[in-house]
Amino acid sequence: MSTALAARHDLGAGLAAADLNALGVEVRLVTTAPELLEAATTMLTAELGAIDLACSRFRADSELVRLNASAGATVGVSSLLAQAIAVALDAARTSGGDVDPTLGSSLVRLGYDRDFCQLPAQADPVAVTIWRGSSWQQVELDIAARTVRVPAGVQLDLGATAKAWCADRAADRIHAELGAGVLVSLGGDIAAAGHPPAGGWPIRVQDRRRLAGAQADGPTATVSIQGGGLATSSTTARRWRRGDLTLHHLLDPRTGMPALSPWRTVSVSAPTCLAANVATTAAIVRADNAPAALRRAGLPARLVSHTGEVTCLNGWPVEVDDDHR
Amino acid sequence: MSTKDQRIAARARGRRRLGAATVALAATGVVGSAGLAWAAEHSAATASGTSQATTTNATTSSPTSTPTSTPSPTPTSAGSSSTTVTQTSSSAASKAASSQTTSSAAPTTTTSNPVATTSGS
Repeated sequence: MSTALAARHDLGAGLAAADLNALGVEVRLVTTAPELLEAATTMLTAELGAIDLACSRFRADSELVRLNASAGATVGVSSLLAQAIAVALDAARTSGGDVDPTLGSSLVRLGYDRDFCQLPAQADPVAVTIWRGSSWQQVELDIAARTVRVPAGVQLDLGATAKAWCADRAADRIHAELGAGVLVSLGGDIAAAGHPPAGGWPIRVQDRRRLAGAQADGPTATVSIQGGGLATSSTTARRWRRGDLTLHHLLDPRTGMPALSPWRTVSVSAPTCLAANVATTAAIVRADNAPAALRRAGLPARLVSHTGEVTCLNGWPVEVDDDHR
Repeated sequence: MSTKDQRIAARARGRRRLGAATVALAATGVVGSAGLAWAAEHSAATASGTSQATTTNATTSSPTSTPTSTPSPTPTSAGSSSTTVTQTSSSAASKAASSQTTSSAAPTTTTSNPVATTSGS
């Protein structure tokens, strides 16, 4: 894993932060005990490295790459990868298949076959393949024996769950080990553990109308959480073009194609970052049915339409745009 | 193909310069409305925009798996059955699953300077 060295920041109010890059995203660690920042960063880096080695779809030496190349054979895996796959399959089950870890082959066919930062923004047309259904139910996992069989032709992509799960694991472990309040953000998948700062953890929830990397210019708000998780999924975060098609990374398992959704950005707070991220991903896929599903789940949520209209559910505070305070 | 799909297909066919995608999909009758809608929307964007008709090829794959909303094994069109196998939950997975249906304390508005940003990844 290429993990950039951490840059340290004093945030005031007794908070310190470290920034680094890992898993293809910007990582931020914040703690209420600045004197423990270095130790916390070391723990986080170790966690990121372990997850990357187990779950990366892009590095040749990862366990997941070997598993995806196993052509339907049953293979032994590490406890960490077995757990990560169990988490992903559970996400598929609890979301009714809307968050599906078996879409790796579809992503590859659409051109997303390397770290996103290395992906050409524009390239030749790709062959579009429409899948009728998903195959997550056909993945055979025996977590006790630590064996997995992925059907031939299917590639697992754990991107929808592994990062959020890693944020939860890291925050929980750092808090358990060091006792400090801690917030871990992996590309905006946020987990907080331990005693929060006074007033909670203030987090900017930022919509983007344009591609990541461009100036963030969509509706934004700052909210505070006391703990748990907060995640955002957006169809503008990872986009690329092949031929005349603009594609994004949130695929609809019913087609294996980028989801057609009225929502460009969905944020959810939940008891864990993983639960939040599963909910946001499913909401994009569920399209018009997302608000009803989120209401049933009771998860506070913020949905931004393609025209920039914001819908707040389940107690998410109706906001005054930060730009208009 | 259902009546709804036929309507969608007809609408899609009526669009200018569809490219191969929608036509091929409509002809097969294999895919449902979601796939047709996807192709139609993107073809429409092509037709209404300044870009040329898509040269993207459309193919259909054999439906070898079960619908996402059907947890039990379902015969495929090829006549075989998919197999659902043991998926043992870990504690972490169980935690994630349980939290899916557990309500969460809502965030509150704050004027404090943010310590992190979430914008999708």
